[in-house]
Amino acid sequence: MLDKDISGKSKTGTVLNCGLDVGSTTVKAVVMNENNEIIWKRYERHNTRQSELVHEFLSEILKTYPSSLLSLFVTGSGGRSLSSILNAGYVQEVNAVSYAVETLHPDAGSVIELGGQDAKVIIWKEDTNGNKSSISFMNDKCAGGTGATIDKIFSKIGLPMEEARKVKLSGQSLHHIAAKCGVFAETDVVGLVKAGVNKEEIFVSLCNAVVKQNLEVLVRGNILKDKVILLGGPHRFIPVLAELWQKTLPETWDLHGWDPAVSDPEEQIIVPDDAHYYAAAGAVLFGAGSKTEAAYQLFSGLDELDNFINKGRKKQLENSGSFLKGLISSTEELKEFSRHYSIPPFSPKIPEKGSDFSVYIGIDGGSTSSKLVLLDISGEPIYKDYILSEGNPVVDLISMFNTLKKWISDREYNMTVLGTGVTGYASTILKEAFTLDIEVVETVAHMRAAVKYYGDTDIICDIGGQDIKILFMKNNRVTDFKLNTQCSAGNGYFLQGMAEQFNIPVEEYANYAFKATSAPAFNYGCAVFMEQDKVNFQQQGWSKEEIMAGLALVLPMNIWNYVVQESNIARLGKRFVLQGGTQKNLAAVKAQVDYIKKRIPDSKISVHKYADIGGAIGAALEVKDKGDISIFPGIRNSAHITFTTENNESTRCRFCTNRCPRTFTTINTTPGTSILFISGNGCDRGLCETTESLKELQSRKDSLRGATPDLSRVAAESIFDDYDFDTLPLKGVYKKGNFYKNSNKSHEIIMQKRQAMVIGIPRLLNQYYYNPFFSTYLRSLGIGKIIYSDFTSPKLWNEGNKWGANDPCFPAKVAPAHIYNLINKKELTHILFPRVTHLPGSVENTSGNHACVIQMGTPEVIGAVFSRDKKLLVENNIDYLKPLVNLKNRVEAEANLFDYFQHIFQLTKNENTHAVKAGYKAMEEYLSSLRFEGKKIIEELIRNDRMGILLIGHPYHHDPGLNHGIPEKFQMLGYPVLTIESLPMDDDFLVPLLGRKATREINDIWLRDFNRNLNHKIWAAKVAAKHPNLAVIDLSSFKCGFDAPAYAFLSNILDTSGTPHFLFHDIDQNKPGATFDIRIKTIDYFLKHEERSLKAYASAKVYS
Amino acid sequence: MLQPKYIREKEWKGHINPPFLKKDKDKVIVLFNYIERRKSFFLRSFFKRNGFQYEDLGDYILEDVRWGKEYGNRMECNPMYFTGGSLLRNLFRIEKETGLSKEEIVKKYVFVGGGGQCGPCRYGMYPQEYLKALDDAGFKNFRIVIFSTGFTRDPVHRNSALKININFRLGMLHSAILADIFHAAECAIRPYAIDKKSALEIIENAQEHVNHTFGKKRYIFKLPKALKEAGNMIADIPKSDIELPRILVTGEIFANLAHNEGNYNIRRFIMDEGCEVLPGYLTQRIMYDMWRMIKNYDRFIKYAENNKDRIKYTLIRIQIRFRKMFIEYFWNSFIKNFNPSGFGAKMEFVDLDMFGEIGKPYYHPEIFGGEGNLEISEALYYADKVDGFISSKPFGCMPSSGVSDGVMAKIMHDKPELNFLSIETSGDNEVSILSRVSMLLFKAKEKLKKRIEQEEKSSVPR
Repeated sequence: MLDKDISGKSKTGTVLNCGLDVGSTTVKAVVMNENNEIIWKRYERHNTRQSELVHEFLSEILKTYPSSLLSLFVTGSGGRSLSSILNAGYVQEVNAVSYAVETLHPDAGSVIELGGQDAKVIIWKEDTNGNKSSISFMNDKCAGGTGATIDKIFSKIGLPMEEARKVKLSGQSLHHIAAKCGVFAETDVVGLVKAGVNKEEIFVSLCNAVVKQNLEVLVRGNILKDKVILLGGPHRFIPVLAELWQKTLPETWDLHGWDPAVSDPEEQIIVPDDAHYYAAAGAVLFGAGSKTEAAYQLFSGLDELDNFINKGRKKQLENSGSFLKGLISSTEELKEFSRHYSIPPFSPKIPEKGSDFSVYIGIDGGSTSSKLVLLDISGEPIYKDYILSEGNPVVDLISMFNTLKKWISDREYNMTVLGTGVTGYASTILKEAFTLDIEVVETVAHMRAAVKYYGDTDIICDIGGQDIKILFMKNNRVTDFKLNTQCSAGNGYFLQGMAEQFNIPVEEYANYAFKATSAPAFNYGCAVFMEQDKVNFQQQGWSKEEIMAGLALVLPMNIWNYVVQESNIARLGKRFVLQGGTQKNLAAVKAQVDYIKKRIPDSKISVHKYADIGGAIGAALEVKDKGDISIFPGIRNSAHITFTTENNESTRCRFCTNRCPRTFTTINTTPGTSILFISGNGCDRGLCETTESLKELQSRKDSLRGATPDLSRVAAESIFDDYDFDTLPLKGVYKKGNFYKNSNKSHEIIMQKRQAMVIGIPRLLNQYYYNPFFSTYLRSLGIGKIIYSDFTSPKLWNEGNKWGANDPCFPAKVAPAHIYNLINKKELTHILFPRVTHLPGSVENTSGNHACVIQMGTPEVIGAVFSRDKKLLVENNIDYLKPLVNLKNRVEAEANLFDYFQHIFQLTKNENTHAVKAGYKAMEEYLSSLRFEGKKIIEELIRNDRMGILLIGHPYHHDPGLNHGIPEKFQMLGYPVLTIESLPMDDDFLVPLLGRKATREINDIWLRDFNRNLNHKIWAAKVAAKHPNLAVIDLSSFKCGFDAPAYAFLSNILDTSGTPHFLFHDIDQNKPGATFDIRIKTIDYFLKHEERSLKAYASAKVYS
Repeated sequence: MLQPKYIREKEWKGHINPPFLKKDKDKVIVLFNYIERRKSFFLRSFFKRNGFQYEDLGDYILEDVRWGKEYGNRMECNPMYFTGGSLLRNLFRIEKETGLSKEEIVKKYVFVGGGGQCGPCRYGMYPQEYLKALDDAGFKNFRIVIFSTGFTRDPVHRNSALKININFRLGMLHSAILADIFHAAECAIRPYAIDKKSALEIIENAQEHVNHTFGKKRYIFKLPKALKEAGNMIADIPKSDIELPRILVTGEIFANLAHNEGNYNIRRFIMDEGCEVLPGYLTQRIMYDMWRMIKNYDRFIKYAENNKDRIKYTLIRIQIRFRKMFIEYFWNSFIKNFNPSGFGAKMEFVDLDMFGEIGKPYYHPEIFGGEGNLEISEALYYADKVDGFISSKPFGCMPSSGVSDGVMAKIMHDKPELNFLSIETSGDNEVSILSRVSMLLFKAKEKLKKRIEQEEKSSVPR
């Protein structure tokens, strides 16, 4: 073995240093000479063949420099495992990048490097002695805000990379896209595509979201000091990203009071030419400079790498814990399986040439594909068209109508359209644009299609592009349904996206997956995490065939465990119908059938013979049953529809401060007639074009509000009301057990001081439960004014989100934004954000009444983030008050508050006692008023045989900005909304439901009852489970560690009793409006059914 | 109030956990594991000594996450998936190996494990989660006995074969201390051993020797000698005298103390990368619980609503203090005999009162929730005492990711010398997590190098 020779000379010739950056999606390689100049470089996507590409690069280098010796240094997420095989020094990538930047840009203040799965930030700090040190951050498990997020979206919007590179920032409207998670981003992008927003604008919005995401999560409130070096493939190849950083960073500098060295953003924030090679070059600079202790030697050839690729890799995989058997064990098995489960070719009985007939048209404008069917008058399909979406659903349907027109004319048919029904993501715009007869909720459409052909069914499992819908049936009637929430893990698009990453058409997926005899075991769950698993498996050397088999195998886990949340599927039934476009992928079907058969050996599983057009068939069946006269203007007219879209400052919504960008689509239906379709709106106000139409909408809503109460809104507003209190008695007065001995004089002076105080309280977290206590406590002490932060809104979040330092659930993550909002109100002397450890409540005999740790701890986080680099509270002369209070124990609460406030407010004990009593009284008043309203509503429901919605969430879910307006949607549909706190606590309400023994207890079924809010959720579910007029909406925020253990538990309580209950889980800062709409429409359908049952029961009772 | 026209009658009764009764003791095999194999290794002797048939389920492995996820709730943290999944993996293994039906397995086995130590969120609820997963996997009415540190109140039947009494508590405590002792030995030897393989073998042998004695009836009188002998065996292991950077790992109990795939075996990784890592002691974690309880009872006594309650709380507080004294006594006594200073290690408890005070301005210790505030105090205390500081927590851990990560922003500002890394463990994603750890280790090495240079400079005579 040759000795290393850093000077570049060895005993036998020149030594060249080679740096290899083996990343999650690409391999980058550089060869550097002794002057550290790059003399050879290459960058390529590895398409899962990392080792092979490294082999190819090295072969080329050896060929290019045949007389030189090589010294190798590897870095990147896939570098570590290759380092020993290549006899190379391993350098961790942040170290490599840091060193490269320190060498090449000594004036750099920070680095932002975006990779495929990783995002890194490095910030250099200088202490008082001028010593430079760096801090660095990498993204956590979530790959939101990385190149993968952008990559994933390219195909969705149909923008080629070459075009994306040319996009410049030129005043495009920026739409909301949640870059937090690649999957959430995808949902938003689908919405924008369907709304007809142009692809360049979507792309810029996505890049903007990526920049914002990195600022929110990765930078965590630190100042990204200039000079800022932007590195990594996405920065190098997507110039608009740099432009967005150049636009956004100076804004954050202003916010944090940072003064950059030069004022021109283009000089402060730069993308170096070789931005994507910095890690590879840094590995060389770092390693060759003996900065690494990893002993390296000269590269001794490719034999070991050959050996690893050919043999070692497989052996290593077999010994790993992730080894599964492939999907099939023999060709016979595959043949047999295909015979049973392949979807038969579509071969309808089509009418003879020249015949006259009538049809119903069904259209499904799905997220990834568009479908059209014709049903004859008996309801059998005679024609179908299925196209992968080109992006705009209107364009898709025009194209399908043109194809249909040709089909008709070729056969010289005389065809009458009796009705048209549309379903799917794009149903609203399609109905308007083409004057279709009815719009059908997707779940209902799919149910209709299954029932028509497989009547006696227990479970319909529909896997579409974006949605997973599971319908539970009894006696040909849907009894319940589950929809994926925001996450699309395991849906059709996920498999399609994976196939595209491997450059394989989705139609070929199964052929590849069936080739694998083994497969890696993916963790089910979040699609982005699975994406990371995929990268890990690629690094370990699994082939694309094996990875595709592994992904198919994890699909049923996502469906049954993640969406349905039922690990014991046997109790759901035995007859399954599988439908949706994904069933065309036989690998997915095989995994699904194996999964079900393993758990229910005698199950009967059918793949719907029209699996891919079930929605369209269902929509046509609905219109057929309706039997109304069609208003559809005809296929010929529809095929010639034209439209224009407009999306600029003039279409921006001006009806609130959020100023959402909107798209106006003007559809010319017939010559001279046009329809305006508004999309991209943040709320229903955005659907109005003029102030008049807004007024009209408002008055319609007001009248609906008047008719149907929403107690979550009432709670959110009334909790911040001023509650009455008795004034503090004067000196010498003996009142209600307290002797007031304070001197009048000193009291007046102190009162004047208090009168001058203006205290801000953030509308956050459990403040939605105990605000009456604190506000009344302060007011009764004579505090001059109390100001609240605004309700959570996109505007509030956007203005203040740059102060965050960590990534908890959104209700806590939004806290810095509320504090910032309060600071900007400019008149505050104090901010009060109490750390309340225990809460009072109405559930008895629990082992604890703790507040959640995040609720308790967020005031500490606020204290930390507003007092580091930029001390905003001090600069604004605001004192931050965070008393630690046990509200459950009145004696302790009183003592806590006295200890904390006695000097701040110059309190006497008696004053404090008085104020505490006033506070508790106010809380009771708030609760009793809500319960009074709750009682009225429940009595009304019983009287009218109607259903009401009981919202079971945490008190902060009353914040309209956190519940995303879900309660209001139900209110608008005519369902009164109750909250946990509004449930009557009277015995005559509770005892008939829960009995005398466990009226206000939950420890008969839930032993670990230490969290106050979860205890109340469980108790409320017990109440609703008994009451026939209540349906449950379960709200839960993403990352809620209390709710997760109770997911199945609450479902068990409500399922057993047959209570309709629906989940809105993983609620986060983004609002997936389209998904919510489908869910709410579906829930409405089922609640109407439930109300019919209530009425039927009541009339049967009267009759009997 | 107007009554509904009918009431939905069907009612779910919750998950059933039948008691493990004395009469069944001889017919039943106790399955157990607890955080990592060393801890359950010594528990074996406890079960053996007390006449139980037992099977040690050993370390958690990555596959457990898949089992845990399949039968557990969605969005749980990885400790839940590892621990619950491990039980299921083993039950399915038993089913396969023995050919017993699920019903027979339910009759023949019980599971004994820890729980509720963390308490603020998912982890504290995991007995419920076990029952849910067992029910769903077809092992309905499987018996589990969960010992926790007093926060919750899972009922124990009066004829239970395994009562959480003094004998049980002592057994658990002694097992924990012994596991900590050998963990400390490994941390002191592994990075410095001249021949790592044989050094680890000697530690294993010494451990086996102590466990043999621990399994005897009157072990308490025989352990001192065995510990002395074990300590001497380890002290004789040849070590190099190079100076290595010191790394502290802290964080949520499981992510910190599972020396296995549950936390990517992070301490061993650090040691094998050429750094010294401070040991993580379960006994210290138990002391932390005791400390918390005493602080709570101080409050209860101070703010009792009546004298009766005050007396009740005072008595409980005395009881907890006694328990704490016992722990200290056994810890000191075991360590004295083992003599870790003989092989260059120090084993001592941190001063929790001091930790509580220094952390209070940043993260009040009365904010109940796992180890979040402890992490803050440790960061402040160790900022200039270690070269690297890692906070390891499960993905989405509420006290740690949700609070202390945010507070750390301020600590990093106030203590710029702190070389800090926060990692979220999920079971998978090992490559990138270890890559981040490598980054910290590099900085730690640089830090040490600089310190040595400065020391050398200052020691040069003028």
